[in-house]
Amino acid sequence: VSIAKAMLARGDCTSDIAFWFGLDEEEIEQLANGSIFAQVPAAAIEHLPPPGPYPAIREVSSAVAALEKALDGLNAARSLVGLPPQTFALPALGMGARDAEQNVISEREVEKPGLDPRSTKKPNAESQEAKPAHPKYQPPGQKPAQKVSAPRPERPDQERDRASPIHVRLLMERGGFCRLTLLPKRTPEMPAGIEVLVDDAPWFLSQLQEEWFEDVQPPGDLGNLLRDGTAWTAVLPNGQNLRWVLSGREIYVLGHHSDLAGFVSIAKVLLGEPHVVLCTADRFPDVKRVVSENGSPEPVILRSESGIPAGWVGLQGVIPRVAISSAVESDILNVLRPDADCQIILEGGIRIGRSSWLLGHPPKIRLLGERASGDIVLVDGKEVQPDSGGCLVTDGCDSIGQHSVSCGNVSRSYSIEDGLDHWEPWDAYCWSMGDFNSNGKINRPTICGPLVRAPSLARSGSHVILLPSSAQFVLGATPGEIVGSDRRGDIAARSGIALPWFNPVWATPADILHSDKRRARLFFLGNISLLQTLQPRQQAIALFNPSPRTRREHTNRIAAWCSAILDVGRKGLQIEPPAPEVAALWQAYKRCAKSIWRRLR
Amino acid sequence: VTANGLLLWMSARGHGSWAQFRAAVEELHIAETEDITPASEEEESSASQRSLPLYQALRLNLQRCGHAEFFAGANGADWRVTPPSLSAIQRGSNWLAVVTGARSDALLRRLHNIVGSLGAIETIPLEACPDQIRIIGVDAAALSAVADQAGMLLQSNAPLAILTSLPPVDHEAVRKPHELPFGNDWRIERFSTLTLSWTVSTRDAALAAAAGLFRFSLAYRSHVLLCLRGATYQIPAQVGKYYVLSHRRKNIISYDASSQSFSVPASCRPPFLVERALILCSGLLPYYEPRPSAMGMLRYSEIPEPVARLASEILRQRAL
Repeated sequence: VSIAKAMLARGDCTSDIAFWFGLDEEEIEQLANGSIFAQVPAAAIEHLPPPGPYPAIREVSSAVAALEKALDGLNAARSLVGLPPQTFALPALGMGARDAEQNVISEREVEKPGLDPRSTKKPNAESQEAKPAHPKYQPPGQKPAQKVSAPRPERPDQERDRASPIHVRLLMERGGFCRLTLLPKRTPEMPAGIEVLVDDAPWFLSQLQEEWFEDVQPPGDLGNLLRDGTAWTAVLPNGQNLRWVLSGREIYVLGHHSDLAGFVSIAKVLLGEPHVVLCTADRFPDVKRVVSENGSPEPVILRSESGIPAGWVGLQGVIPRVAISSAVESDILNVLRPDADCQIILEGGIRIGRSSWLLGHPPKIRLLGERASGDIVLVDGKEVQPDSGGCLVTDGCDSIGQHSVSCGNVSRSYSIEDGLDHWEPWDAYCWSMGDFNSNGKINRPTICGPLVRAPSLARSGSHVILLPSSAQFVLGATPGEIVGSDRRGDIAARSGIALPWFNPVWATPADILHSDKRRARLFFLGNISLLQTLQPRQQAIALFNPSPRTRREHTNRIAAWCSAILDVGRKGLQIEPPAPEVAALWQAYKRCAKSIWRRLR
Repeated sequence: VTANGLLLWMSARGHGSWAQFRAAVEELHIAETEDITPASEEEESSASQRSLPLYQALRLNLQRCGHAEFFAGANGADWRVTPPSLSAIQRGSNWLAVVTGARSDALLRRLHNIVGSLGAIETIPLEACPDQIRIIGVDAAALSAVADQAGMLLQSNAPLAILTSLPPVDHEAVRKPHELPFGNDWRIERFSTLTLSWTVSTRDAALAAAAGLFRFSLAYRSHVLLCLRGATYQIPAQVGKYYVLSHRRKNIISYDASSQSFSVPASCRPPFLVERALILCSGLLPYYEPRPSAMGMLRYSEIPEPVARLASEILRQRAL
């Protein structure tokens, strides 16, 4: 640790230092900002390794091979003059310099129990047997002055074995009750579903969002787990090890998250934002003191009867009003001391793209933290003062187009867009109960939402109409417009579906001449207020260049249309509804059918 | 933001992936604004109700009401919003239209303006579901005019039209041949037509069953299989339940013509397209009626007799 600190002081890049020690870069960054090993002094400059960038593993491998070749040559020369062969213990790949420093690290580990600086190493059988303690959370200290580091060299994925964090989420439920869950982070290379080992027990994680797996409520005492931390492991089919870590701690700060509901664990409290703080019962007096120091209103205390784990206390409604400098030393209470940093927050509304919101549902723009003196807040180039709720509003900031918000050297942009305004139906289900569709093309109506549609195999322009089961044929106003309905033989249905490609006017029974005159009816299907548009056409639609078969079918259809009308007339069926204007229309149809029938003969 | 915001978001996007849907449920913070009573798991008896995650309750309700189709019905996406439509049904001397499908602020404004002159409009808040908007018109022509002017599609007699387009539960189109899973690790349960719940069973029982519905579970995998004299079929759980109930000639549905209520035991929720037809009669989700000593019932309201009769036929039950 002392050498790493000295390397940092020398200005070495954190990625180089991490590569030198075979550690994770995040741990070196924690070392740099004083989160861990704050008390360990830096080593003397003469103990430092040469500065980076260091050769890649491939180059080291080549060098080792060259050394081995040179050694073979040297030993051949020694044997010529009768000297014994020289032996060198060449380091294994990926070790060497890091191992040279191993003792130093091991010594420091004793100073700081609970932290395993190699915690991101792949777990092996030995380490599983040993069951190392889960990493302890290292609270933030005062931030050191920021250094400009050299660009980080790219490292192949295989060299990384970084642990993903497990966050804590609290969802408020009915009656003041709350539910506490663990929320593992997801990276793009992780599958949508994965089985992990939690204390040697398998547990399945399924994707919640691109960056998160679904919450889990692991068995056992959640209170102990929050205090001591936990680590989950998984192995991908390609052999890559994955690891998730929850660092145990005594205080958790949970705040609003732009992508997640409820309160999700965050690094520390933010000025002006509502939080829920979870702390162990021992830490409760300290937490309460710091919460009152940061100007928060009196929080609501949640205990086990509200769903908080035994031995823990929840403080709901912690809203810091005063920025407080973090203690210089590493102190867990620093998470309750808000920084003064100014941030622009876009929240709420309906977000339909990465940084675009739906027209009519724009985001609320808020400033978090404290502005530096002289900083002006600009929305679309106009100076704006926050309203009483801390929101920034200006004319036009919710109109369609691109918008920008800036305060000092902090800025954000967003756009307001229209959503879709046209939606088409499709064949969602065909002859199915909804869970899966029948195989192959079926000439049955399809369903999309509440719509029942003609199948794709039906004649162009067909639409679905519902008929009483006593009606079999549907007739249109043009001779030849006749279609039969689908009578369900498999169920006792009182209605059937027909697929006319024309505007339906009448429905007749199946076997008109043999139907029961007391029950059978001629149904009028048209709109009674539009009778004039339903008058029968005197001629069928002419076919354009028909094939003999098409011509024959067309003639047959005209004959069937006339025959159905004439049969209903002969039988003297009653018309439903029995309105005089409908009866008059029917007489017109009879006359038309009679005239066409004569011509057909 | 409530479930209304979710439907606006879905409508603005048109279609998307399951991860996007779940992300939207999270991001819109619906859990904090919806007063959710956990919906009962479809396949569980009321006695062992497990609460569904909010996103599942929302998905099922959006699907049941016909606002969106998910997975098999979503035409290549994981979900797809249906076009804005009026689902019309005659109710006494009036006609009722339930507004379903995509919504936008402009469409809703247009609809309110148009309905003002042609009928009455009412908005009913529902739990874990977008508000149900209903239009009451004096006749079908009025509703047709509303649909035309608002740029919406109209489905007359939607409940009957949907039911008439569905196969009955014992039709071979609703099941697929499937192998019986091998191995001793599977947890095997059989649906009991007596208790209407799952009971522990064996693979041998599945092989020997004349008509039995079995559930094979292993870790997070689950298969619901209909076993018919040695042949095995994959079948949706709710369809399979009604199949075996009809095979045993057990009637579990009741219909009260005076109150027009159609009731089923909570563990035997109808397949979702049948349920959609029942819901579109009123636009209202079923009411869960707990019973102290027996299984709770789901009650669908405002169901006309022809719809109840046809739904019973599809489910191979005798409600009337």
